[in-house]
Amino acid sequence: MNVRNVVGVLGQLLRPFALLLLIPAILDFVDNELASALTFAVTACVIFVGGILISRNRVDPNRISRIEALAVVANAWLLAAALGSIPYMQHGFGPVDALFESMSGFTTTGATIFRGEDFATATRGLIFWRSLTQWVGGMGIIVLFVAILPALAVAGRQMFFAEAPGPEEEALTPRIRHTAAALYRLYIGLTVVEALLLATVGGMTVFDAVCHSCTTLAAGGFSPNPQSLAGYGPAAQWIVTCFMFLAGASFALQYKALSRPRVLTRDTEFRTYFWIVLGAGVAMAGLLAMTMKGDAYTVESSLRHGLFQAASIVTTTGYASEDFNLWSESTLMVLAGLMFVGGCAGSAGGGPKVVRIVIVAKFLAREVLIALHPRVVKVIRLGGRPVPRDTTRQLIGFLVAYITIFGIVALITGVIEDDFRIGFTGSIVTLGNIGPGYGSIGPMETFANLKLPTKLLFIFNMWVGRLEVMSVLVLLHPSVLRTLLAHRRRA
Amino acid sequence: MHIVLISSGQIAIQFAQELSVDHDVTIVHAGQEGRSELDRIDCELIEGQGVDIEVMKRAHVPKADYVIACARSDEVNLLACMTARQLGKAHTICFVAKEEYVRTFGAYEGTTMQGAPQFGIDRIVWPARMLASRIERILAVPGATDVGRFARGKLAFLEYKLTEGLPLIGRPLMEIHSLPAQVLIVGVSRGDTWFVPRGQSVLEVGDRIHFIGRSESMHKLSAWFTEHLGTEGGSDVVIVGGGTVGLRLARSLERNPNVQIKMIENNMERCAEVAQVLDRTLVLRGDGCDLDLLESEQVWRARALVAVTDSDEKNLLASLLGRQLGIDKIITRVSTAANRRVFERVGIDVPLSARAAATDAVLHLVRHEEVDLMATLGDGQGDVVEILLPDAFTPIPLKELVLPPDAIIAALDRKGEALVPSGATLLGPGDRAYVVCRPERVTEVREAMLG
Repeated sequence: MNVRNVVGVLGQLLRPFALLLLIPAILDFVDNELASALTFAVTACVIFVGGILISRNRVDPNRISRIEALAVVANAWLLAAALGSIPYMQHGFGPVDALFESMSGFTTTGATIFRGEDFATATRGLIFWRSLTQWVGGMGIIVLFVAILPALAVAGRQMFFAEAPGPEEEALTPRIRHTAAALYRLYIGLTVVEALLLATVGGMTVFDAVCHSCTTLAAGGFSPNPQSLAGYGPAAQWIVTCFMFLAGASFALQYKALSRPRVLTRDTEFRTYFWIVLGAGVAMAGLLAMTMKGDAYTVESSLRHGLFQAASIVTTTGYASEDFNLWSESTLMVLAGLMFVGGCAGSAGGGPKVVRIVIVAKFLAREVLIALHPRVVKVIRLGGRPVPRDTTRQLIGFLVAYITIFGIVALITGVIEDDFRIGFTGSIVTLGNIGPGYGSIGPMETFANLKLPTKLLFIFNMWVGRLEVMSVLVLLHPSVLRTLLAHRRRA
Repeated sequence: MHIVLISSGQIAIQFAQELSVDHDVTIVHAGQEGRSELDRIDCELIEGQGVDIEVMKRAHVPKADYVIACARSDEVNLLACMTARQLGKAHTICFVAKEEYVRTFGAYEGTTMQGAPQFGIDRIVWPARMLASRIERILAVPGATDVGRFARGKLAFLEYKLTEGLPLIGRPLMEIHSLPAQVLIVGVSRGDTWFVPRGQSVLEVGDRIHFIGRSESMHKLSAWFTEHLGTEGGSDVVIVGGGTVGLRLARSLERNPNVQIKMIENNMERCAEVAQVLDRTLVLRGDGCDLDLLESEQVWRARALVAVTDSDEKNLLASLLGRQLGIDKIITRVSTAANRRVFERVGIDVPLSARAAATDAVLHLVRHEEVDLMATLGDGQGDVVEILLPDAFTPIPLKELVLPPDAIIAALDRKGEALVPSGATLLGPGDRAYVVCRPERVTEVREAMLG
């Protein structure tokens, strides 16, 4: 691995990144929040100039190796989170809290260190920056840069698939740049439609509608309202439910469905995803109606909350249509089960992904069949096509790594915080990029009161979870670390 | 006629033997395969490749009437047909084994397939499919040893092997009244001979009886036989051999959700290939002759066993093991004509040959292009052909029509309505007559009917 190549490409990525910061700067300038506007603007300038300086000795990004592409992707997310935390620090948050919020934003987790009063004091620019980081992170930082940077042709292809490493490499068009652009067109289109609906039918202000729209399509979960979606009416909640569902489905599939709607029903993953959301939503609605006391849970409101929360957790958005911390334990068990599913591959959602669950289920079914008929030869297929043996192996490796990281972090944080709920749910909601957990990190609570090591571990979880574990683990392999150290010694 | 054969394999030799009696035959052969047999046939041998235009010219392709490409390689066959089209107007018949090529060049029609004339391929013959669909038809009718369907499924042909105790045995046909209406006995295979029975004919144990009738009546017939033969248990089908035939058969059987299929294939790589395509079939790696495997997989519960490996010996052994385990219906693939007789002697009920079916179809195509072959009866000794009565045909009662010996009008398709005629039935223009006769008399029959 050549570190100079990695740094060079990262430098190129910085320039468009700087432009993103100008949007909240303008917003704050309009609101006459000059100090905040200035921070955004200055940060933007520094990053822009820094980017130029770093990438001064030009590297040809198309000559970087696979491992370098992985390094670029992993570090790009770390760098984005670090640079994106500067505006939070200007607003008085500590560096770890700022990094937590920024990482939670870019990885579309939606776990927040904002306390109730912070929502009142933050400028609109900062609130919008929160939403914007999620919107950018939802489709993927690299996808964005691949779409707008023509120089990244071959490297872009490698990084594109390293960033969203689903079980299959699937491009919509022969050129990866056109694929990335097509996905972004769809993404922007859906965002605009949702914002319009929320502002008109949903009864939100335009600002709230745009912020929510950005974080819904990203399956993010940051809300400008401390009450999350509980602060709005049923119409807004239904609209958000639908768009969360879309955000958790593969964008590539939706793009194809625009011209051939039948691909949706033919796609195994999408069908499974649909039935999981519907089944879990209806089940939770039933449980709510049965186990919750009081007249608040009518048929409509039970269904609304059940489906909303099922979609919110499966897609790893993390919105709340009401404080589910108060729900009955049986309902929460269903919800906790959904935390281990995640959206579809190629969606904005995090988590292990529905397709992996499907393949693992088929793998287990095959193991049972082999136990019954020792001589049987069975090929795991998905949508009629065989799943290569290597893919199955990688996938099981991924799941083992995923569960291991979840377990270790849950164990450590549970001990540190002396709280089972924080450890267990905190680990999975950050690793799965979901957002709020149960107990004192519930949807109406904050992550701000956690201890420092817990926060750092959760930041690590968000980062690793968004890049689907392996991209990061590769970089932690001794041989890669050794080359890094050797490089440093030479330099 | 002048006929050019590409390849000197077993199929080509059989064609040469049959066709060289009446026609000029040239064989284009690349190696020394089958040389000793070819020397005994009166045909011209040209050494070279079927894709070489100079070789094809020397083989008189420009003035040939038929080019039959029956080499083992699909690619050679396809290219040879294309080359032949460059040289003249010969009809090209192309043997194909791979499904991909059939998809690209073929369209299903009757017993052979319409090819793609724009590529120079007039007919495609796909032996594996012919065998697979025949096995599927036979499996669909309990107890039957051969099944055919024609007139868009309205008419059917069934073959049953007579066993001890059936009420059909030992009495002249005209005294038998227990068979359903609209069913006709059109042929009897006894030993190596086949004949059309008359009223006085007496059926014996071991005879294979050919019935033709309307599909609904045939259901009653098969029910009648099931009642007398005893029912077959289970719904499973065991396929030994995962080659082209086995795979095609499994795929079409999978469409019926009530059938559970087990396929036994010895080659691991082939197992993986087959398992990629098949959905519900249980693909088992192992030897179809491995008694332990057959027993541990509870093969005895199956309704039928189909042995379709490439090896006749394996097929025979697997079939006999299946019989030992108590499976009622056993269908066995046999490749060489000599083995077929042996198989029948040792008690294989349904020995089928992909090659025989294909060669019968092609020979019919070359000899009687104007008459469509619907089915062959009793080892190719009887044909069921379709003859369309022209508009100029003068109506005539069936009993007044004088047909050659061993020929019988078995069924009619009158404006989409299928019926089994009696002597008084009036034949009219537009009728499609299904005639059973010996293959060599097809032309005679046609002349007798159309004048």
